[in-house]
Amino acid sequence: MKLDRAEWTGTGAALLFHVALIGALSMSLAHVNATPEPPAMEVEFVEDIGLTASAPQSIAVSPPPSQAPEIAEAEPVEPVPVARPTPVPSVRPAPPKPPPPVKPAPRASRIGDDFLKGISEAPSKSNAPPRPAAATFSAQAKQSIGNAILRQVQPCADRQPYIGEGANQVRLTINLKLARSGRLIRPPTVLRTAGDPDLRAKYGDLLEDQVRRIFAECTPLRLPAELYDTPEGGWNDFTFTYRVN
Amino acid sequence: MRLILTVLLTGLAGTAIAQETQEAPPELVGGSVKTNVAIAVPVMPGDMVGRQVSEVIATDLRSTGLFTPIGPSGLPGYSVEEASSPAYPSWRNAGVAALVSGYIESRPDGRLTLACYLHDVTAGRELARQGFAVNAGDWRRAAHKCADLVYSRLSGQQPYLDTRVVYVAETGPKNDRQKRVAIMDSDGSNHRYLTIGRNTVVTPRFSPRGDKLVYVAYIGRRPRVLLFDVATGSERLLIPGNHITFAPRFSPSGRDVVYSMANAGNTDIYIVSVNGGEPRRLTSAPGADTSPSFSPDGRQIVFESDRSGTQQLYIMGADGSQQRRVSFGGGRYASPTWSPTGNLIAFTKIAGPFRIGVMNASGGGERILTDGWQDEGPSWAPNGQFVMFHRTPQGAGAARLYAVPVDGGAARIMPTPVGGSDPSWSPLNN
Amino acid sequence: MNKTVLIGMTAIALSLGACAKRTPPPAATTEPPPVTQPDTNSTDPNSLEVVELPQLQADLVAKAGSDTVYFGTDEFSLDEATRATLAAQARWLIANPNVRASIEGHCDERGTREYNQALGERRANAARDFLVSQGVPASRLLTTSWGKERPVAQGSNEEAWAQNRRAVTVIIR
Repeated sequence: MKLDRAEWTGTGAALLFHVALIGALSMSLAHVNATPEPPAMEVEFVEDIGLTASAPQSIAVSPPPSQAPEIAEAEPVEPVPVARPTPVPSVRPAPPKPPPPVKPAPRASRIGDDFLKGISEAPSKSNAPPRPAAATFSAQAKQSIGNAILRQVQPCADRQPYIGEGANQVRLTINLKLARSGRLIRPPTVLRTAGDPDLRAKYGDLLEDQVRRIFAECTPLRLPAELYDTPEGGWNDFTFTYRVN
Repeated sequence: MRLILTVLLTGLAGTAIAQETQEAPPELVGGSVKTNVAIAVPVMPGDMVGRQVSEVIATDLRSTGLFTPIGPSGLPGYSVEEASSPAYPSWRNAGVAALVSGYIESRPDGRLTLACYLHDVTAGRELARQGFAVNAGDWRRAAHKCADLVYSRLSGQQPYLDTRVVYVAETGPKNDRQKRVAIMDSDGSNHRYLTIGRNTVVTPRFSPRGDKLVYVAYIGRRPRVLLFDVATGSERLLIPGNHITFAPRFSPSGRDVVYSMANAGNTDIYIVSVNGGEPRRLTSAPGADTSPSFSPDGRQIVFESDRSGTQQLYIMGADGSQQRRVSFGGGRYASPTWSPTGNLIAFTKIAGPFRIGVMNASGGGERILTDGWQDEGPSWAPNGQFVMFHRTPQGAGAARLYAVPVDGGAARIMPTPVGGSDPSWSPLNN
Repeated sequence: MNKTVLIGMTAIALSLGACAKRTPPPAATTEPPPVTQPDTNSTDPNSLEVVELPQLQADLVAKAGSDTVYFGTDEFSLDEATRATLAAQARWLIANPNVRASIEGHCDERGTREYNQALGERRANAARDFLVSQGVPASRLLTTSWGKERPVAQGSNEEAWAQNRRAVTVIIR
């Protein structure tokens, strides 16, 4: 099909704008941000700040020995920033809409081939305002979501360094609160630490460090919006266990 | 209608049961990759000594075998204000996982404050901070303390970098060696000689608080145990009289010294108070009993004895009771030393070559850590994670000091100015 | 500086001896003690210095054939050659009653430091016992161990090791 003059102009202009856009973005990429990324979360969290970020207290190093009081760590006010300010179009979850729209046809899954397999389309149990036929957070859905989350973060988990002998005997139970964007609303919370008490004392913090790194690096997660928050639950609240090899 | 309700309720119950059987949360397993942590150590602002401080920290962290330090050369600087709020995205782009920042401040009393911050760059948060006040001339101590803060927080282990080493410095040909007791920081700085080299000296060992040494000097053609004060340099014979005594070690309280005395072809283990008094005999078996080493709780002593025909390891009560053999592998065992954490005993294993090994204090679990021709004389780091020893090459060369991690890994040479043997690792400097 | 003083004192001592006067040892020299009894409660290292007598040492070697005997690996037993040498040394010591001897055991490098200090003492003790059995008064004999600290041969081979496993009779005042 031959393009006529208007179409050529339009295509040329589009090309030009694309080049300009890429150029501008490249230059902004080369410029290193001095401040952390603005949060993509919906809700900011504020940790209890014990001391302001002033100079740490000093201790005398030379004899007689004295111990400095530990300075309470001032948690950052802004939530954990996520790296890679990439404008390259990537697969993102559907933008948040209050009631999930009706899905007339099975969507092409971005998670796995049979991700939605087994998710029942049974009507909602409650007598609340009737919802359109949305996916329910059945047991199978919960399991599939869990596997999907862990699959997405596994590359970051694989990279975690060896901690020490006996570290693999400690298991953390972690709870995440996620925003619809797939990012964490707050840092991961350790619900429980299991294992020998000495090993827990030695490695518990280091394992928590690893979880925080894993979810800082491998988020935002890509998960189906309609399962974010249903009456039976959703991936807005996710609990899992973590241990090392 | 009733039928429908029953079906619905059964369905509900079934779903509820199905939910309960799904209780166990899914498990994520982390990799445990044996990689080093890339950690940036840029020049600390606030005082000219900041560059040297950063260099000491980077060197310390590299010596642990756990880190790949980056800088201080080649890294951008930052201001005192920026020390506590670094640009995490910039550092992530630079490919580092952690960052040591801080600053140095001169105090009105002439001392220095070193503020030390450790950051998790990947997660974008601060992990630890502490300040250290030192005399200006002791800035190295503050740098070691900062490196220890970083090492401890990222490894889960107790600190060990702010320590010293005492050892026998060796110069001259093999058949006319000059041996002097020398002391240095664990990174090789502040090296000085404590004896002048007229008398042959061997096996210096630190007291539990690091303020004294015991060592053996050949005086009047006999090995004697001497007690030496590190700060003043004064020393005296520990055991009065004219005996052949050697292999001294302090008890964990620092009040006693356990040692060997050889007489009439037999060598036994004795203990004496540092304040003088009659030595007490602990062993009397025919054979050579030597290299005694206390457990950290002061209740037991591990030593070597050839009473069975070959050198093996034995453990006894601190009063000499219940002497029992604890080494049963093939080969011979010598120079045992109990780890400060109490769970392991390091030793020299002789099975052809000499190698450094460890075993559980409760017996068994033997692991060989080194692979030299003649590695001997182990000494523990105060956190029980590293063992220092000396390695003698075949032929006429001089021995050198090495440190090897207890959980496996390469032995690293210690930065002594000359050859050396018989290292002793100090407790953590206070 | 010390060596000069020693040689000077040796010269004086020898010349005094040559005058056939049996002067008692200078007051500063302690009596050679049996090893088990502490002779002094002094903790001053300087109180223990021992004086070698190089000219008499040379005489011992000339008359007895050797001041050194050798041992097998990890052994302290005396073979025939060793006994013969020690017997000759004993005769010399009996003929030179005004001096003492320090019998000094040495080891090769293939033992750990402290075990070798014990092994050296076994060798010295074995040699000393034999000398006593040949009539030398025990009070004139000291023993000591140098462990592996004073090898004479530098190599790491059988030849060097054999040369280093030895007991040396050192003539002292």
